[in-house]
Amino acid sequence: MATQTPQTQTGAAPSRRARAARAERQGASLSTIAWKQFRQHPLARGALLILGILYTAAAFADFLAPYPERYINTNNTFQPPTQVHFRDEDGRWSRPYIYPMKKSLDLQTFQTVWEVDTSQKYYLKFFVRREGIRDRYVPFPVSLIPLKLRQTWDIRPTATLHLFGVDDPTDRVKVHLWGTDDLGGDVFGKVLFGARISLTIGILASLVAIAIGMLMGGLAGFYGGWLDELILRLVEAIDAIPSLFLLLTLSAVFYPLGLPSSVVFPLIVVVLSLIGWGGVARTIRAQVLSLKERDFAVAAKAAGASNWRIIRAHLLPQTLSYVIVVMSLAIPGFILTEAVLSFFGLGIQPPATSWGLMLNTAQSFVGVSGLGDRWWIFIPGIFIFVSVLTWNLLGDGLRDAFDPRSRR
Amino acid sequence: MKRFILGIAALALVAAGFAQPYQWPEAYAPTAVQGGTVSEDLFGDFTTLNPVLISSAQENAVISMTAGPGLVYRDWLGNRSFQREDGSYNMYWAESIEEVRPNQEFVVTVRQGWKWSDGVEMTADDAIAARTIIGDPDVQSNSYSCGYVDADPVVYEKIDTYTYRITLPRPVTNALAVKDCGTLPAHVFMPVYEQSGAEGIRAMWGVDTPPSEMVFGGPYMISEFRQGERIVLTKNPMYGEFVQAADGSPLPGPDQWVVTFSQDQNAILSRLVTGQSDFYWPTTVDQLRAITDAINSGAIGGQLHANLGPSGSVDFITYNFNKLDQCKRDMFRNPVFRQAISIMIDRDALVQGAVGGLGFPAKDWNSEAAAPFDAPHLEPFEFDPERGVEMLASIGFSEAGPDGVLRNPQTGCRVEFDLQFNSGNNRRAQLAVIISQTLADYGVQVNPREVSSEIWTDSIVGTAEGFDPAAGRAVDYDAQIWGLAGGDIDNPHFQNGLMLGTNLNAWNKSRDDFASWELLMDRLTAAMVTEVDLEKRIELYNERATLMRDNLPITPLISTAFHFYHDLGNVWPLEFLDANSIESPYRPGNFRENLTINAN
Amino acid sequence: MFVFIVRRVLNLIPTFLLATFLAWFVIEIAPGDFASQFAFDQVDPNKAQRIREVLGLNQPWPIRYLYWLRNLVTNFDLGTSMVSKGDVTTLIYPRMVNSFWLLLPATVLTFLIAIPIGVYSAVRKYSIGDRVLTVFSLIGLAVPNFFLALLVLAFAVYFYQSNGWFLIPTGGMTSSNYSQLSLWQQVLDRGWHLIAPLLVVTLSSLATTSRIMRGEMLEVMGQDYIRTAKAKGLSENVVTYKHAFRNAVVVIIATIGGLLPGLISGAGTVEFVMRWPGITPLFISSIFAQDVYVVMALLTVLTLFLMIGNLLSDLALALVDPRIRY
Repeated sequence: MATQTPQTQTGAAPSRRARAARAERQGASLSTIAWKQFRQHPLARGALLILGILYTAAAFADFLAPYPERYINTNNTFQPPTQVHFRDEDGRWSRPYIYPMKKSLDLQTFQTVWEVDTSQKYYLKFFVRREGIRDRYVPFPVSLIPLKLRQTWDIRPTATLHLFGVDDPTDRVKVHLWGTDDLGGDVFGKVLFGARISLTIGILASLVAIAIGMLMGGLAGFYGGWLDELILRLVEAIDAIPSLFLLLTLSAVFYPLGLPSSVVFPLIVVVLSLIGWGGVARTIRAQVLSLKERDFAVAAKAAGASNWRIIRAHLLPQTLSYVIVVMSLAIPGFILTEAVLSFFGLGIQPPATSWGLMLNTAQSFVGVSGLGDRWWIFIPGIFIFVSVLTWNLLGDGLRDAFDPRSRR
Repeated sequence: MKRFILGIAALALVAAGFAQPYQWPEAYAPTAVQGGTVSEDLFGDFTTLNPVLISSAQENAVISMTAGPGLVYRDWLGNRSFQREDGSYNMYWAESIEEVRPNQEFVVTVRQGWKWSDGVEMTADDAIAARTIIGDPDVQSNSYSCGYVDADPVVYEKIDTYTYRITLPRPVTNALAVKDCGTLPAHVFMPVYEQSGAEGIRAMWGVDTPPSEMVFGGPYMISEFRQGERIVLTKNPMYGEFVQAADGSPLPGPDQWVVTFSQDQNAILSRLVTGQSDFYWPTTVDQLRAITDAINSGAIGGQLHANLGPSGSVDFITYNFNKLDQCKRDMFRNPVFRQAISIMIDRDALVQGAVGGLGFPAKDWNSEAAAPFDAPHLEPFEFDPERGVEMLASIGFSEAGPDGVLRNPQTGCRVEFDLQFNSGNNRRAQLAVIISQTLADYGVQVNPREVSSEIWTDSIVGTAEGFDPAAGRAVDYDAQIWGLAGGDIDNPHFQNGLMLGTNLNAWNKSRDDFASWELLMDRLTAAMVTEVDLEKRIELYNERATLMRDNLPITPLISTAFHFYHDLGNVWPLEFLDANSIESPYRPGNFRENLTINAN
Repeated sequence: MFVFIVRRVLNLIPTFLLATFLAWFVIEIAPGDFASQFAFDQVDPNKAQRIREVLGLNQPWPIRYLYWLRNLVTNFDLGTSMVSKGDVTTLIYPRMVNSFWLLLPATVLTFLIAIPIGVYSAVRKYSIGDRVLTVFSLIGLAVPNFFLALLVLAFAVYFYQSNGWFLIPTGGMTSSNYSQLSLWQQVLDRGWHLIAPLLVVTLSSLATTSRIMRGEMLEVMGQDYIRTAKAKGLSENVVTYKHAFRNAVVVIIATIGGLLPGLISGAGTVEFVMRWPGITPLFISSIFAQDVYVVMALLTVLTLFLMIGNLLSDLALALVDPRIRY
């Protein structure tokens, strides 16, 4: 597991104090400088763009995906990607259309043969309305409201608009841009739906981890004494247990309860953040220790400001740049960790879907025997790859942006 | 943890085949390899080499090939019983058996001249040592129960070097098979046991013990063991001296078995398609294709026997008759409900979706592989969801609620239940998901729930009132997908799971709250346990199968197709691979006499 | 400084106690216990209860933790496996050794590759080379290890099927005829089996180390003494490699302790897919069987290793970084 939890940053920790101090001395606000700096970082800008696309796609998955999340079709398992034609037989441009595919299994060679039935063209339609009970959805910003609350407030799925669909009144012909998986589900759609979990799990887990870490680190650094000792020991204890094993042990606790995915998701977030907060707490503590000795904190204290006020108004904002950087570098680690949990069967459970779960299904159902022939069900792996890569590049860019010495 | 594979069927064959003292029965002979090395991959790892302590089915299959003999053997190619029709036992290590009191007291004389691998002769002491050590609860042997009938001990008394008396506290069917603890080399185990007791036994023959320090009584000896990597068995010359083929020639069988451990299916398949192992039981189309490709490209030279018929295990659904929730309990107990759900399940779609078309819709809770215990008179299940909706309406679930789920307007009860399956079981996961999604269109809400094997087992074991908490935790589950493998052929598969009044009953754990069909079923099951005549057992089985079809305490779904690849030349001719007969040597699980939950 | 070391060592004790207690607690709050799996036993329905009594599982868990701790401290006894009934130490020792033989070369190789990358990236900050190397080192990180291992396995199979011989083995640590080989051949055989898992593990840990190295180099190069050295007219190369590099590498070496958990974790899924008989496969099967003592033994021993590693790192860091206050 290539977990890259925040503690990997501790190595370079001492320098940030110096950096922050220097930034403070320069009159312009840190964020303005950082933003200026960040814009000169082409890899990070590219990464931000790709991530923006990914998150937007995840947000509007219901609209972009042709079929609902739980759509299955057991007669169409492992269908290769549907070829979309843009030119007709005479080579002229045409509206995009597809041909239906039919499966047959050769019992001698066990090759699944997909025959394309070219007798009739089926045109793709855009901005179609699908009224089926499972085709309806709650559009994006509203869908962030938890299901329980939505039910209480009687918000029902009403949106029916989908980006595209097949012009087939019988609804028998399906378009699968990236093929279908082991249950005949649409890989393209499931990648979009899976993005919701895979992409947010990292953000949520690192937010929770940083919140815990900042609170604990701030308390430890500011108050010192026995509280400091206790928190330090706790951090050390958690750090001392190898993260993969702690993670698996923790997940194995919740796992046997057979919980629905709506509960499993927050639990995974909690488990991930529980193993990830230590590094943050440690660094924040060190920063607080150093900051509180400095003039402004001493001055504030002398002026009679309360402890909480000092923490809130002076100390924590100083660490903001650090937090942003840590977060952007922790998120990809959590995305990978989610995939590892799925590998051990301890992650998100079907019928919900995530990239890690999809990749694990691909690995266990198809694996080494179908890597070449059924490559499309490994597509979620590409998305894990891209999102981890871009988050890391973004994190690198942010770190450099907040680091005054790397300015040009 | 997951994708538990059943292996070592071939090993079992040899073990079963050797189960003929002096001379190997002719019928078994053609099914074994002559000489050479045979390689096999095993899913899992060994944690001990001590025959007293082995726990997993894999350990059992391999280690039992090296362990000392039992008194009697099961005649797989005959009436599948330990006893013949006249009631006499098939004798293996036993030379003669005198049944002093029927099924209760025996005087056994064992064969002279049979030796352990270190040259020491086997005597009555070895049987008594096994009974003493395995029956000591502190040793924590998994075979512990062989020394007891319920809580009362089975008593062994030595009469002379080759003769001893076995006395059971009360009569038990097949007593000498079920209550035989086997043999242990007394000259090795007893000094340790006398000196340091149970703890000394537990410390024996661990994963770090050199095989040269161990003593073996079976056809094979362990010659090398590397934890997490492999175990190597070689022929035991002492065994070969005493046990021979029917014509008096040396026994068939490879000179060496190399069993490689793995915990990942892809790793196993990679070894197979590069010619590094000789057996494989493919389960998916992809695996079959990978093997076919490898054969066609000349990378491997074995034979693939695909689609031989249904495998021994059937996946089925049971409902919890002791559900605490009143609505659900009434629903689960209603045979019309169970029939309705059954008729709404498209078993052909399950076969397509869950096993890629390589499977069979089930019609009984045993597949044809268990023939003759497979109820051939039953018709296949119908698929008619509309009819299912009508049936649900007839028992009150007549209107669709605002969420589209059918409900009973009077009671407000809804047709909704959780469907559990054990973690890591991809096939059952698929079954649950497909069932959930097809039934949703007809207003039945099924929530698939993957649970750990522990929880899943506990759900099978017990719940609700009348449930003895000592035997497990109470799990108030709704319904489950599970299946069984192995089992005692005399009482095909899992008689305890069908008997009333126990925690092990598959659907109803209560002690007194039974429907009349349940009582009738219970009587038929009890009759089967004691019936020695094969024909009569089949009749009883079929009668019970009809009763079960009418009331569906167990709703059969599908069984997977059976495939087998081997690279051993012409030792498994196709006629031996007739998938419809349980005695076929390929069938995994036929060596396992005790019931185990099929985690496959 | 001496006081710091003593205090730091003494600190290990409560940390160790807290860590083992936490681990025990987490294992215990999982529903069920080792005996649950026997609850469904046809022949012996009382088996689960009997096993609970024999193993003492019916006692409250804090008490069992104390017993366990007492045995560990007084006898160095890690307990008895519930599955094998044998001594836990004999069960985990070969696994630890096997994992070590994967992790040690992986650590060395990681440093050998990552340090030059880090230095180059720091010295040629924002050059094309820096970007290419950054992305390269991130590729290994961004592909899940188990998937990378699968790809390598598929390659091994593909190579054999098209050429008839093995370029790399299809997993495992030794060949099946290992015991018949001469010592020299055994060493070669091991090395040959090591290649693939080593590459996968190393590739996945490159990014973290090279990134820290880059940060450290930048950090050191911004220090006053480097500026002084430059001002004195020393050549760029001398300053970079003699002064800055040396100091940065000391810090990097000192962070090994902190990097170990990542490496161990990274090797975990690789051990699974490539059949490396290390600790993770045993850990997973033990945790699913709720074999508490094996799980605890693995956690405890690894925890001890990591704590000692961290201690050494801290001491080393304290030596090189005067800003750390004792």
